Amino acid sequence: MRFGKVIGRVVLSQHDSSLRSGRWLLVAPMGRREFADLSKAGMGDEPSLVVYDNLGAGEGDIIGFTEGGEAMLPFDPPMPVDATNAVIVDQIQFI
Amino acid sequence: MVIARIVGNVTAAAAHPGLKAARLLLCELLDDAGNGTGRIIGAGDWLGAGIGNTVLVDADGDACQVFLKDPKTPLRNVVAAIVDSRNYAGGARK
Repeated sequence: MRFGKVIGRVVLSQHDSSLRSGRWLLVAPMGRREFADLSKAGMGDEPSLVVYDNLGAGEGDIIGFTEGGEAMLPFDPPMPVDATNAVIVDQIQFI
Repeated sequence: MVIARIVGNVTAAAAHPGLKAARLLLCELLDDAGNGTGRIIGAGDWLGAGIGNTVLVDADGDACQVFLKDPKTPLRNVVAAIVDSRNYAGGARK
């Protein structure tokens, strides 16, 4: 699971029927530098990615998202997503 | 499995039901010499690892199913072991 700050949203105009309606978040991944100084979150050098969300995260939230095959686990019938929002973070303790 | 050091933890405001009871720890991946690489991953913890511990994180979802009660939980990293000590090319590293 990686963490990232929601920096935007993506609206699909056309998509495959198996991609049911849902919210797509534009997320900038966070590393040590961003965790150490949360004001830097969202301005990291790693490329941002689009994460499927059904927890209701908004812009500015920090989320934990799961990538890979496990991102499809919660969905029945299966949906072809490779990154799913699993956690909306409330508090972070970081040394 | 990858070697990582626990550098914090995270509490969830909202989460997938399967993750509700899980302890989520922030783990920084270590390089061979034991220094942090800056890459932070979140891992579920059922072993009680504490901040500062060096742990083995399993990066495969199927392995997580052993720990999880809900097979539909989207989690791929789990703290599989807590490292006591390790040797690396001539000399112990903590």
